[in-house]
Amino acid sequence: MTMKANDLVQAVDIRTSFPFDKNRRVQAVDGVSLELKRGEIVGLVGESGSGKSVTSMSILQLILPPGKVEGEVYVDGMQGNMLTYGPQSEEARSVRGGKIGMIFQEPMTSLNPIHKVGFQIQENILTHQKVSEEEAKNLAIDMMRKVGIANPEMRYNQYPAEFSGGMRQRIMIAMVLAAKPDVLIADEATTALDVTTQAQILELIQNLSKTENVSVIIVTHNLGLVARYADRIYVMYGGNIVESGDKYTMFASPQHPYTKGLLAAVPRLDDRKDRRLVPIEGLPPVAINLPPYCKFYERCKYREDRCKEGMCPLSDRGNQHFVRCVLSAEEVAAKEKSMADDAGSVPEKHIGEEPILKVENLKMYFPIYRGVMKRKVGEVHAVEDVSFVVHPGETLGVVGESGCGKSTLAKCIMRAITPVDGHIYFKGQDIARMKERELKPLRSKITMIFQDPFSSLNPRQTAESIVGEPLQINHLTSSRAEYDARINELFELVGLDPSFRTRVPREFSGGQRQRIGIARALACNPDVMICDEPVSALDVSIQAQIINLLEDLQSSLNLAYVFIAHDLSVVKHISDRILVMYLGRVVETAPAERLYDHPLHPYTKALLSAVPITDPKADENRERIKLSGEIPSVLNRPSGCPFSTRCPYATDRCRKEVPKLQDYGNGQQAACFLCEKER
Amino acid sequence: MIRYIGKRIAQTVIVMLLVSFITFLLVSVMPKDPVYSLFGSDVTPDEYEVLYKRLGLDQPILVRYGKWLADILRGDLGTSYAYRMPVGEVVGKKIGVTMYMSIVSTLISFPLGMLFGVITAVKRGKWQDNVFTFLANIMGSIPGFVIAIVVLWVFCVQLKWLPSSGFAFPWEDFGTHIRTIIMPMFCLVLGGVAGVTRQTRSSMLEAIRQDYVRTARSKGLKENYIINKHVLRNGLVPIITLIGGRLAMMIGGSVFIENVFSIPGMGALMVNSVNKVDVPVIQVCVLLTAGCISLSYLFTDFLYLAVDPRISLQ
Repeated sequence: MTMKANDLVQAVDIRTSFPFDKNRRVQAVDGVSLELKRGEIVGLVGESGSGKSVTSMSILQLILPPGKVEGEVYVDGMQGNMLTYGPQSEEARSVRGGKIGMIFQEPMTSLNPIHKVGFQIQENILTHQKVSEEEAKNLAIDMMRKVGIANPEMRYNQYPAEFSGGMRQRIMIAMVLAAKPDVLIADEATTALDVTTQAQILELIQNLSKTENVSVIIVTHNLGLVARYADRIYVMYGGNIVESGDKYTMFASPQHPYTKGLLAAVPRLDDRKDRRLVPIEGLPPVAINLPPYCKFYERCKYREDRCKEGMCPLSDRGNQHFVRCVLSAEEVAAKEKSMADDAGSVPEKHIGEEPILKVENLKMYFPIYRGVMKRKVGEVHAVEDVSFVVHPGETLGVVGESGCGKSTLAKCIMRAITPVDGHIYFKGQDIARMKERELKPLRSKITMIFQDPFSSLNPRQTAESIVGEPLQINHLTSSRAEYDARINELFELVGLDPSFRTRVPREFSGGQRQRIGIARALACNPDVMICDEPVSALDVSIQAQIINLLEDLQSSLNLAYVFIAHDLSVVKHISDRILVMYLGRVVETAPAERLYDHPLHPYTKALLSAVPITDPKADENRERIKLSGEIPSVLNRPSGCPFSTRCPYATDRCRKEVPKLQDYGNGQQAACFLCEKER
Repeated sequence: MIRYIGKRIAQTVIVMLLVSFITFLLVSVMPKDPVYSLFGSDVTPDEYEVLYKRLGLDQPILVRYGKWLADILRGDLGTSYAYRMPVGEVVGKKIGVTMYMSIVSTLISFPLGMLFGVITAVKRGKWQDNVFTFLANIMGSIPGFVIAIVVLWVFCVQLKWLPSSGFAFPWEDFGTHIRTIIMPMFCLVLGGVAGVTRQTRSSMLEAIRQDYVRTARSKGLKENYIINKHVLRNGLVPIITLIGGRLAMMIGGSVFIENVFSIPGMGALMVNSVNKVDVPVIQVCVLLTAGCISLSYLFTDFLYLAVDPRISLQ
C-alpha cells in the first residue's frame, strides 16, 4: 500500500486494545483510518471514551504493553508501515518528536519538574537534528521567542514551576516545534486553560502551522474549537469514526445521528433565549461489551433493525463527506419529521418581584502570613465590592476566569466563610455576619451543587443517605415512612430510579452522580441554589440532560439560581442576568441577551469572542478581540482598573483609577472609563 | 536558600533542646535514689544529707537541668552509677561501634536496594521483577535477629568459619574486623536492602507513569535515556526520606544484632543501663541517639535541596 501524494500521515484500520480481565480485551479503538495532508489542520472530536486520544497515541506508538496496536501507519519520508518496526525502533523514535510532535492536556504535569525548560527543549532538538549543543540552545531560545515567551535567554534556565499553565503549554509547543516536525498533535492541549488563554494558544498554533509549515491534529471534545480552528473534522464515537469531512459541509449538514445529536445538545452563544437543549438519551458507551454493529445504536433516535446486521462502512455522501450510517440523509430527515420531537422551548419562568437574595458591596479578603511568627504581611482581595440581586425563579450567571473570585463569592453566600465587609440579604435578613445559631434555620434554604460529581460525594455513603442527610440533620421528617416517601420523591424529581437508593456513588455514571448532588441540594426545599460549575466535568451529551433538569426544576419549584461557570455558552443559555467578574471585581452586568448582543466592557467582548460557536460561517463574521498577556495574580493586582494590564484600549487614567459600575440602561451596567466617554 | 538552611539548623537545635529537657525530666522521676546508686547502700543518714546537697538534688528541677546542660556542653557528661567512671568513657567507644555499623550498613544497603528497586521497576512483570520482589518481600518480613541466629548457627556452629562474637575497627585489626563484621553486617544489610528495594520499586513505578515521562517518550528519546534522565531522579526523591528514617532505625534496631553477636555497642549498653537504672548513661545515650537522628534528618533535607529544584524555589 502506498501513500497518496501530499499525504503526510496515513493511518489505516487502527485497532487498539487493552486487557480487561483474563479473557477479554477492551477495544478502545476499533478500526480507525485517517489521513493528514500537508498544511492542514484536522480536528478529531469525541467525548470521553471515544478513543480519540488513544488513536493519536497509537499513531505515535505511545501505547505501552499490555496495550496492543494493530493496523498500518504510513508517514511521509519513512518506508513502509511504521507499526511493523516496533515502538522502540530507531524508525519509530525518529517519527516520534522528529516527524510528529505531540502536546498533552495537563500543562502542569507534562513537563519534568526537576529539569530546566531549556534542557527539555534542547533535548528534543539534539535527538532529531544534527546540531551542536550550542546551536541547539540558540534554536531553543529562538523557538521560545516565537511562541511568545518574553526574555527567553533568562527563562531558558528556569524550571517549569516558575511558569503559569498557559506559559507551560507554550513551552510544550516550543519543545515540539523546535525539532522541526511535519505534524503537531494537540491532545486536549487547551482544555485545562482559561478561555482567553485557550484562544491565545490555539491562535498561536494556527499561526505557527503556517509560518513553520506544520500540519496539526487538534484532538478535543469541544465542537466549537474545531469549528473555528480546524479545516477538516473527524467525529469519533465508541472507537469508530462516525463522520468526517470538511468543516463547512459538516457543520452545515451533519449527517450521522450522533453528530446531529451533539450539535443539538450543546448550547450556543447565538442561540435564542428559549431554545431547549436536546440531550442524547442514555449513557456514553463503555468500551467493554461494545456491539459488533453500530456503537451508537442504543442511543440512536432513528435506529432500525437493519442497523444490527453488522458494522456499516463509511460511505461517501459527496464532497469528501463520509458518514457511517445505514440510513441515508433522506431517510433520517423523513424520520425526523415524523417524530416531530422538537424539544420546544424552555419551560416558562415566573420571576418574582421581591428579591430573594440581595448582595451589597461584598468584600472578602484573605490575610497572607509570613515567617516563623506568622506575621500578617498583606491581604488577598479575592472579592472586591460586589453587589447584585436575585429574584425567586431567576438565574444569575457568574462568569470569569481563574482567580476572578467567583468561588469565593459562592462561599460567602453559603456563609462557609464570613465576608470582611458588605451585606448579604436573604429574604430581607442580613446574613453576612449573622451568628451561627441564628443562621442555622436559614442554612437549609441556601444550598449548593458542586463541580466534581466524583469527589463531592462520599464514596462510602449510599445514595439514599447522601440525599437524606439534610433531612435528618434538619429534622424535616417525623417518621421513617415519611422519610422514605420524601427520598423517593427527590429521586424521581431528579430523574433517578428510586430503586437505586442503596447504591454507592461509584455505581453511578457522572451524570447520575450530579443528579444525586442536585437531589441532596433540593432535600430541604431551598429557595436559592448555588451551582458552582455543575456541568463542566460532564460530557456534552450529558451536560444537556443536567441543564434541562435544572431548568425544569427551576420552573416547577420556583428556585433562584446563582450559576457559576467559566463556559460562557452554558451561562448564557441558562441565565437571565449575567455578572462578569475579573480579579474580584464586577466589570459588567446585564440581561443575558443584552450582554451577548451589546457587550460594553472590553473584557466581556474579549471573553465572548474567545468562545467559538459551532457554526464556522457565523463564527467567522463575529467581531474578535484578542487579548495579550495573562491574568495577573490576585496578589499583585493592578492599582487602577483590574483589566488595565491586558486591555487594548487602556489609558493612563485606567492604570491609576478604578472605574465604578455605571448604568447604561436596559439593566446593563459596566465599569469602564471608555464606555463612560462614549456615552 | 540560605534562609532555608539557617531555618532548618535552628529547628534542629530547638528539637535537641526539647529532647534533652524531656529525657532529663523522665529520667529524674525514675524510682532510683542517685545517692545510694553512686555511693553504695552503706551511706549513713548524715553522709546522705551532705551528698544529697553536693549532687544538687535539693535544688528545683529547672536549675538542675540548667546545670546538667551546661556540664554537657562543657564536655562533662557526668559519672556512671554502674561503672563508677565518667560517662564519656563508658559511652565513647560504644557509640563509635554502633555508628560505624549503622553508617556502613546504610551505605551498603541503599545503593544495592536502589539498584534492585530500579531493576524490578523497569523490568516490571518480567522474571527479574518476580525474583527480586519475591526475595525482598521474604527478607523484609523476617526479623533481623532470626536471620542472625540462623547465620550464626550455619557459619559459626556448623561450619566453624567465623567467630561468634567480638568486634574490632578496621584500623585496629583488619583481619579480625572482616571476620567479626561479616555476619552482623549481612543481617543489618539484608533487611535494609529488602526495604529499600520495595520502596524504590514503588516510587519508580509512580514516576514512570507520570505525564512528563509520556512527554519524554513522545520526543522519541531512547528508553534507557528516559529512565536515567527523567524517571530516576524523580523516583529517588521519596527514597531520600528513607535514609534518615533508616539510619535512625539502624541505631535503635542494632540492639538485637549487637546482642546476638556480642558486639560491644550502644544497644547493649542502653539495655544494661536501663536494667541498672544508670541514669547518667541513659540520659547521654538518649541524647546522642536523638542527636544522630536529628542530624540525619537535617542531612536528608539538604539532599532534597540538591535533588529537587522545586524546594529551593518555594
